Amino acid sequence: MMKTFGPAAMLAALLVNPALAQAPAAPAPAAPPAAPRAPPFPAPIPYGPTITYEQAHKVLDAALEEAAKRKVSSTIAILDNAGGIVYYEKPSSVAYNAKALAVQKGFSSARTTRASKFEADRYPFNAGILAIDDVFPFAGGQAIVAGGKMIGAIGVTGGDDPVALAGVAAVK
Amino acid sequence: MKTTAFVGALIAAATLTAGAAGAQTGVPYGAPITLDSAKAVGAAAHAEAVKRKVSGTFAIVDVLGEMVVVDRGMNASNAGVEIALAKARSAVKYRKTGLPLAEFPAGAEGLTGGSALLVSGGQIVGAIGVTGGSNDQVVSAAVAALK
Repeated sequence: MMKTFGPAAMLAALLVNPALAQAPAAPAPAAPPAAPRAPPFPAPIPYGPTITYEQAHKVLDAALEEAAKRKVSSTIAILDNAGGIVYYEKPSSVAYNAKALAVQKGFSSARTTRASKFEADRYPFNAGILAIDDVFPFAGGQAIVAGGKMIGAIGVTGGDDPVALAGVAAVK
Repeated sequence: MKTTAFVGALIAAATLTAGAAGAQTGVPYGAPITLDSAKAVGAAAHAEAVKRKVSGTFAIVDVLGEMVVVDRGMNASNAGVEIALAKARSAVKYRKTGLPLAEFPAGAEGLTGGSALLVSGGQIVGAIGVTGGSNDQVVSAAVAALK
């Protein structure tokens, strides 16, 4: 049989060869734009002396003031650097699981010296963060820093970060 | 023989006493203490601790032993909160105070005193546990603050 060229032959080739039925090969696609790199980890804050009674109550009063301003019922846990409870209170209107939330958020900040939500922001949509020990990646935990040293952490549920940050700002 | 009878009588007497004490503490459980009440009780505990120059770590729990207010006192030991919580929880769960119960953390056995049931309107609303010195005086001041 004579070789034929032209549209009829091309159509026949397309019909018998599925590989050719695909769109003509485009030039090699350019490498996808590099995903924006997550910012580098901030250096951990060095641990200092444990938060004192007076410092803890300054943090508490400022946090409660912010909670009242925002009309939220905040469960507040103030912890030492090892996660031991220094102060805790839970409003009567709040369910029992608030204890776990507030304490875990504070614990996460105490252990990482960062905001409890840091890992969630750094690795968005990555459930792997749940496998990191000591991390509880929800907003509401903040490190309490005085004189450049970590003295404890606060965990707030109900009001979360704004209330926690108001408390943290009360000590320098 | 005589000794045995005497010991038997002693045990009987002790049992009767314990029974009477148990009956006295069988106060019914009520609704959980409110945060406002608990903070008033805590403030009284703190004031008494300051007066007596002791650390006065306290824990106030509700009728189910859940934390309502916990405050590590001034210059307090790191173990204080755990011990105060254990005292408060065992008080409210068993409706008895001052017992070295098995729920106490290791090393804290025998730490009696420093706890009280918080009773309001004839019903238990919670309990307070105190550690850090002058525990019974701090507890008395705290209980007196409960309206």
